[in-house]
Amino acid sequence: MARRSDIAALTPCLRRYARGLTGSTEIGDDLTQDALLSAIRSRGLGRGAALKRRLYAILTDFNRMRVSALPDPDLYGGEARGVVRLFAPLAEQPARDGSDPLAAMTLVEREAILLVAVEGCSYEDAADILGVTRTALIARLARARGEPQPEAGRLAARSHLRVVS
Amino acid sequence: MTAQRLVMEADLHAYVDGELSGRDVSAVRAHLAQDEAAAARAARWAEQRDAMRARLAPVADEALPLRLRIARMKAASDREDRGKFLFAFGFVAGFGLGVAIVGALLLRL
Repeated sequence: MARRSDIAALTPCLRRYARGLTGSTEIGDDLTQDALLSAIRSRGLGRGAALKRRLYAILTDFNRMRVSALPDPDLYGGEARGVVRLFAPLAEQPARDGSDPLAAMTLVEREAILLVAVEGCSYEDAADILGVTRTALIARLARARGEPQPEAGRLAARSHLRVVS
Repeated sequence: MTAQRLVMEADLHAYVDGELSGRDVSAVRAHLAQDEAAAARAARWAEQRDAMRARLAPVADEALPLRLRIARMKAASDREDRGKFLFAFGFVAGFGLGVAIVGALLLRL
């Protein structure tokens, strides 16, 4: 079983991730609380990096369940029903100048960009947390960055930077 | 002929996200020095990353609300577990006592 102190040390980061996903302190804290309660009742979560990946994965799953269960697409500031699009702005830190880059992203794009760009996860860890391949993760990052859907070949996962003459 | 490196889109993302090793970073930088459009895209992505970090970083420094403090949550969880145990114990004990009483009454009849 993971030590309480290990989980406690990760709590502020999980809370930040939840805030980014939901755009709300209250909903984000609810989500964090659910994930932490699940963690302290679970066995086999591991320690260190494995524990971190597991906690982020639990929180991601809880959020997907929450979003897919929303009864009203306009609830919580306009989240679309299901895991399709999330338009919820960062309600308590509104970007009135339209500079909130998270506002127009889909849920899966938001998850990917938050894990990599804000939480500092490696591609390997982020792909593991989201349950996707490295190539799929980069495709989500590309869309989150406003790039058109790249061709699969252009996102070859590990064949980058080969020498040509 | 001078060897050059072919930089693909995935490499640009990896560069912005700090996923490349030193030699590959140099190769991407050399590419960006020659490709203004790619350099502008990479700069835009880095700007987006920095904006999100600046926006959310303070959250991790906020004082945690009581309901997110692990020691408190663990104590509440333990109390709940104890409550469930006592309920189950009481149920089994009550059932056993009931069976004993009914058995005793039947034996008297």
